[in-house]
Amino acid sequence: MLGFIRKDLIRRWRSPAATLAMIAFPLFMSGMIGMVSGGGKDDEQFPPIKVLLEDRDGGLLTEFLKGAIGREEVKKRLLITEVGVEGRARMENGDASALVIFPERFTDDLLAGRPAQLEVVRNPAEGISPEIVDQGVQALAAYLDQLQRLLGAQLDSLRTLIDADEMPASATVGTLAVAVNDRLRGLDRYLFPPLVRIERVKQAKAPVADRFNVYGYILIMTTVMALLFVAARSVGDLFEERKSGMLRRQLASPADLRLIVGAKIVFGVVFGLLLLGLLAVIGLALRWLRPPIDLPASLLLGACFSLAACGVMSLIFALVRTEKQAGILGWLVIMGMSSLGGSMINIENMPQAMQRLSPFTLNYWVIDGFKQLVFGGAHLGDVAKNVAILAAAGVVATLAGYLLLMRRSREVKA
Amino acid sequence: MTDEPHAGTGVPVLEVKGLRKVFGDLVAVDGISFAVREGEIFGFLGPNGAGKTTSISMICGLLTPTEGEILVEGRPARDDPREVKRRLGVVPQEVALYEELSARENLEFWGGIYGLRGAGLRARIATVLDQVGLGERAREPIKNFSGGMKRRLNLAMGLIHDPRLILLDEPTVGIDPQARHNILEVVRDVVRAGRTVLYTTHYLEEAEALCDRLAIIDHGRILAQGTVAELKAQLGEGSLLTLQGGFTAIALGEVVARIDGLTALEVGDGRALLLVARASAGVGHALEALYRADLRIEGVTIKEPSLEDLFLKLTGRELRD
Repeated sequence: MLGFIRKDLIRRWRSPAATLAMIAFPLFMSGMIGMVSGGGKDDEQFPPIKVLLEDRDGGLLTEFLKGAIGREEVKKRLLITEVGVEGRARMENGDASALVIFPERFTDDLLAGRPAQLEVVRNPAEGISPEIVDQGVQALAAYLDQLQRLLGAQLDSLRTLIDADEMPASATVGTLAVAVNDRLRGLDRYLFPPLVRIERVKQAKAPVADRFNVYGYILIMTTVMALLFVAARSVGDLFEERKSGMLRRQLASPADLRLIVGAKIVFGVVFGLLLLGLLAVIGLALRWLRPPIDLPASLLLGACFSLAACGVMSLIFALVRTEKQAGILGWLVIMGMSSLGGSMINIENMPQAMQRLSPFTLNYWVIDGFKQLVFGGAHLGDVAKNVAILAAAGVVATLAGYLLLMRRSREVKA
Repeated sequence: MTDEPHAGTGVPVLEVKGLRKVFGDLVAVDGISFAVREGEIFGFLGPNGAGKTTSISMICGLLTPTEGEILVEGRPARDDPREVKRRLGVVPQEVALYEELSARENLEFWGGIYGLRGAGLRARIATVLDQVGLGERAREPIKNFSGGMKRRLNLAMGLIHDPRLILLDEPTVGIDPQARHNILEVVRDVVRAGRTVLYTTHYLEEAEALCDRLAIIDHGRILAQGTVAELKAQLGEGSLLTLQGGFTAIALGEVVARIDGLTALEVGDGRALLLVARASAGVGHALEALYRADLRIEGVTIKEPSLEDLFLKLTGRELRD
């Protein structure tokens, strides 16, 4: 077995082009995507989104909102410019990511409980920023709706007080304040527990904020995908050896077929782990990943994933007849698992239907496990479920693939 | 060094009895029997698709025979296939090597499969590399090797564990005459060192020059076997006339039947192979009689009988067809 593995390691070393491509792919993707998304180290690195605001209402609520979004912390993320009717023309010139329009009588309609509509004009040339504005305005609409339901009467009274030409009587202001206070106090038990819980979660995950890095995150996602290609290539080597006559030659020797097939799978696991280790070292050197990281847990998770990947590839390759078919089917499976399992898109950003399929991929479990180990300071116990699932998938797929490959390899004799 | 074939000792190292292999409707090997004696080169001569490689595959355990028995050094191969594989040195038709490895590394890997380790393995590697003339290139990646050098290393891999019986499946396909000469020399050296060789080829000259005994195989059946002299004798004693012209098979057949000492080995329209018996009045007399018969003969070749002629006589077609 060792002789077979050593021989394949030397072959990979002497013919490094494909291996280098597999190492370069995650590094390149991480660098590219990391830079595009501002690196994730500091919020300031992400440029503020330009938003135009056309206020046709000029009422209490819109003035209140404009005051709120004028705060410094919002300005870091949103560069809001108030415009008049020229807003649409400026959008056509591509001056901003989105134009938000408060229509006439917006405040009146909202306070009177009538349907009120906010309008968002998106810049079609941009993808992410207009979407962020759109989502933000939707959230705002939901908040305003709830605010109206909760404090509609009190807000109406407040508007009357503000619109009046004379100073309100102290008793009137006091009555209004007491009413607002009573309404909010009634919500204590609904409002405070979630806030407390959020605070506790933040405490537990405190290191995450410090250690999280977009480059590292993308590195994990894309490394997993690269390791699937490594597994495919390692197991697919059987096809190359069949084509060259080497497999036939080995079968005419005392080498057992179980040894030949088993050695390819073990080599795939070993080689996958080596590349994983190499990428981890590069990631640490570039400070995309930050220690401490639980090394035994990471190795175990990586080994279980490599085993599962080789098992799945063995299974796929055992089902096809030619190297070409193996290449096409292997590629489809890798791309399918990678897109559903979070190697291409963050799972949280996927549609619900895709998210439901994610746990059926190897990528999902290994990426989740590495995220916990690398960014969450997790240990083996925290990722035991991920390790167990990958190990089980690895054993089942490898066994099935091994048996089918044995059957397929016997056909070489003919 | 001589090019003369060596005679075996008579003790069979390999015995094949009634071997048959059927793939669906195709009978690839149809009940062949032969024995390879210790210290000889036994040739398996036949065109592509004759059943040579299928036979070799059954002998080295790659294929299970449909019928028949294979004995290696007196033991039935099916009783302990792994042990039989250990005793055989197989050199396949394909150049099956790892291009990224050096000659030494290929041999190290291959020797390891046969259980060779350490100093013993290193000594064998040095021996076989010298044997095939690659001692100087041992550390070089073989992707830099010529086709002939790769063929020689391919042969060396079959010799690494010093097997008593070596199966060579068309080892000289696709290489230049110089490289072919080198390989044939290595094969002769191996036999001189007391090993036994089963050698398949479709090159007549190679078989005739190298092999002590031969089996001529076609369509999965052995048509004739024996020493080269014995096989040629099947054509009869005398000279061969090859005729070409505008005659018909029937007309020529009638004429040949009237001429003493002339035998038609193969006759077709416009082409014929005739044997002029040594005891007859001679080639000149036969030709004179043929011309007198007004057969429109346009070309005549006179030569001594060869294996090609025997193959033509046995199969009705040339080996190179």
